[in-house]
Amino acid sequence: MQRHVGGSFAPPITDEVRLRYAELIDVATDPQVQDAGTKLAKMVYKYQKAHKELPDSDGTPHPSGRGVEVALPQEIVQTIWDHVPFQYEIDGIAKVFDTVSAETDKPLRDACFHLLWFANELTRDRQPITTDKI
Amino acid sequence: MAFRLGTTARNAACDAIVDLFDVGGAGSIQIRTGAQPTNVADAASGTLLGTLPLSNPAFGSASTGVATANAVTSDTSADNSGTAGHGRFLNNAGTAVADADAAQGSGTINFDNNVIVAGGVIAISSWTVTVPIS
Repeated sequence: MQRHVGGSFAPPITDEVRLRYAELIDVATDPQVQDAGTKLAKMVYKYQKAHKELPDSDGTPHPSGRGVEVALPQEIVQTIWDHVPFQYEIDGIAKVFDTVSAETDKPLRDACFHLLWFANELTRDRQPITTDKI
Repeated sequence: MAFRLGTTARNAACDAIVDLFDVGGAGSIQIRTGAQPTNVADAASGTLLGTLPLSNPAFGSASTGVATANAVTSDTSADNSGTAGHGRFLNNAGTAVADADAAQGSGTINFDNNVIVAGGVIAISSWTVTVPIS
């Protein structure tokens, strides 16, 4: 079977959603989950604050056939630089979040991976391709 | 001289393989966390992240040993959050016909962003099944 390209697109994170996620993360029993989740929530906050005035612009088609990739302006990249994890850190955080049960702790797991998805988008210096954009 | 299959044989083999996806109706691709099971026929492993319905028939007729899939419908509301680890290709009865590893930037199913978010969209672009000459 030859390689084929997949895409994953998440819903946008509103202020309300981000605050709800922060509440879930605040009471997480695993300190590693709490630490990583808190940092990612702050990353999303910093991005949303910097991105508020960013107009939508043209980009290149996403390889999955859905959505468009739009590069972030350099000033936004610099603003959020300290808050966006590197890819190897994202991979490590994914392993930590994977310990959160999808059966017994689904809201927390969903919150964590939603924030991680954003990190995975921002680490490529592009506007996250959320479901409202495809 | 190595054993080689002629084009007629390759096409026949390829068509026979992809026809298995159509048994009983439209098949599907499950995206799951973790590594593939040891054998295709083994029980499913990992957390089910989402299911993408295949067209019926799933593939067009093979040509020079290659069959190209018809459109794969996106999962517009993923079931669970996690990191895509493998895909499981099922017929309409839910029997696994094949499976493939999934990864970000590599893997047979090459996800641009392999973090899946519950409620988000999972998309897979067109894909092919190839029966080689030898």
